[in-house]
Amino acid sequence: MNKYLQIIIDWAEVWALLIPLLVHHIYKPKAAWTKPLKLYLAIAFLINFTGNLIWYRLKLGIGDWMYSNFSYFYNADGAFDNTILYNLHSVIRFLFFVWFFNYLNKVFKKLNLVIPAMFLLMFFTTFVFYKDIREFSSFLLGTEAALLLVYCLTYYLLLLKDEESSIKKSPHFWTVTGLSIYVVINFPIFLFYNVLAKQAENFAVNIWDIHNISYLVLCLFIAKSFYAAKQ
Amino acid sequence: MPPNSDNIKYLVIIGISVMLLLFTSFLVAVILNQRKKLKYQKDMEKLREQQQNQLIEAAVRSEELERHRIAETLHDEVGAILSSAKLHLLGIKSEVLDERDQKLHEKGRELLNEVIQKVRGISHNLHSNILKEFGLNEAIRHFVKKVTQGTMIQATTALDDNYQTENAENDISIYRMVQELMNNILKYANATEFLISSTLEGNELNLVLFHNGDGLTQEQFEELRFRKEGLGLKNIQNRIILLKGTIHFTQGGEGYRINIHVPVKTNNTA
Repeated sequence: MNKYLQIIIDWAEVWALLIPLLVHHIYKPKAAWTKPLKLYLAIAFLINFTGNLIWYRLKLGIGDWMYSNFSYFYNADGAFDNTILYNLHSVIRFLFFVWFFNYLNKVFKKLNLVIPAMFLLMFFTTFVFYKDIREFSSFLLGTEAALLLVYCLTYYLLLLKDEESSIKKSPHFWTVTGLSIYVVINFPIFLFYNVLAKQAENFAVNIWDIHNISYLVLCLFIAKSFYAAKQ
Repeated sequence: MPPNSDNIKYLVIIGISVMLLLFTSFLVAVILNQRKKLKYQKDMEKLREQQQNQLIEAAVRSEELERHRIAETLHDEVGAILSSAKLHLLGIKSEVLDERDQKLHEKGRELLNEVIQKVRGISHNLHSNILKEFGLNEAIRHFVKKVTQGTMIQATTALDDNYQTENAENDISIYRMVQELMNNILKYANATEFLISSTLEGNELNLVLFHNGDGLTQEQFEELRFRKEGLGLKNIQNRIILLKGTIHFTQGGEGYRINIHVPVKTNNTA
């Protein structure tokens, strides 16, 4: 693939987040459900930017500086990478989107008493007893994608059931659709990533481009949501 | 047998494709359902609006029929009886009466003349004969002249003679609105100047009623419409809805203005 196009796709996880942030800044939607999204986008930008800096450290010429100042980013195999940030991002993404769903329907408020707590328990249990947090966890990210998919499908079923609601009156429909596309595409990727990384490393690196493109789609749908909400 | 790495690759690709396909089908079903729901809601809204218009139309029609009935009763029965009473009174030779009785006789004739005029006036107001015979503009001019005669109001009419009657029912509604508004101005506004003008622009008739007294703003009109004593204004609102027009009350520097816009079909024949 053209190397410039590859750089653009590699950094899509970072610059894509600027699109909905810019739309939010211009149109300033007031709806309460935009708050968790806005916060998630800002935090995700910082995490992804740092992650990509680490991935591109050698090309950017900051490899030695990172090597000496961020020793914790060595993974268990002694390699220096950004996997811990993906694990943290997964938790943050889950918690902020669960907060977002809280505003949409009272059914989610009931779910949110239990599910986030169980997810956090699973997170701590996995990384305290079973895995190193500096290793990519297919289990964590796969579970996160599956749970978010359940939330999205529940949203659609509630939309179908409600006589009064419609897509026109629900600007958050776009965010949920973007999130659905993201988790539907990435669920198989996350689930098999650990295996792919061991058995087909090149394919694992290449398929991350699919993840980045789907992340761009998510950001575009969130931007559409903000735009629809300003009206 | 392909190596394990190939199996995993195929599994991931097939997994993504299948999940994407399933989700797309589900989303399409949701969107189609929503479109159907939206169409149903729009149809219901249209039906509700149609029903409301039909109710308003029925109310306005029955009001007009009642006015005609009362006008005819007043003219044919009450008017006839009063005229007969006048004839009988005129039959009394006043020369044979003493001074006191002559004064009473004279007063009685005056009062009878006055009531005959008033009954005739009420009957003409209720009836829309002049409207049917001479058209809206002439009916408005005649009405304005009649109600402002003998008052302090200096009334002017500047009506667009390009307007020709397309729909007699609509003309009646416009005329009734003008009557109601004028009666309110005479009763409450304490105005000394009044102007009613009309212009025909394309498919729209624009009427402007202006006076220099105490009038209503749009907010006051909206509020009064819902009060029990705001029946006349409610009537005006119903007629505007029926005509699919608009009415706006505004306050300018010199007085109050009422703008009425009514869509009319223009007569395109030469």
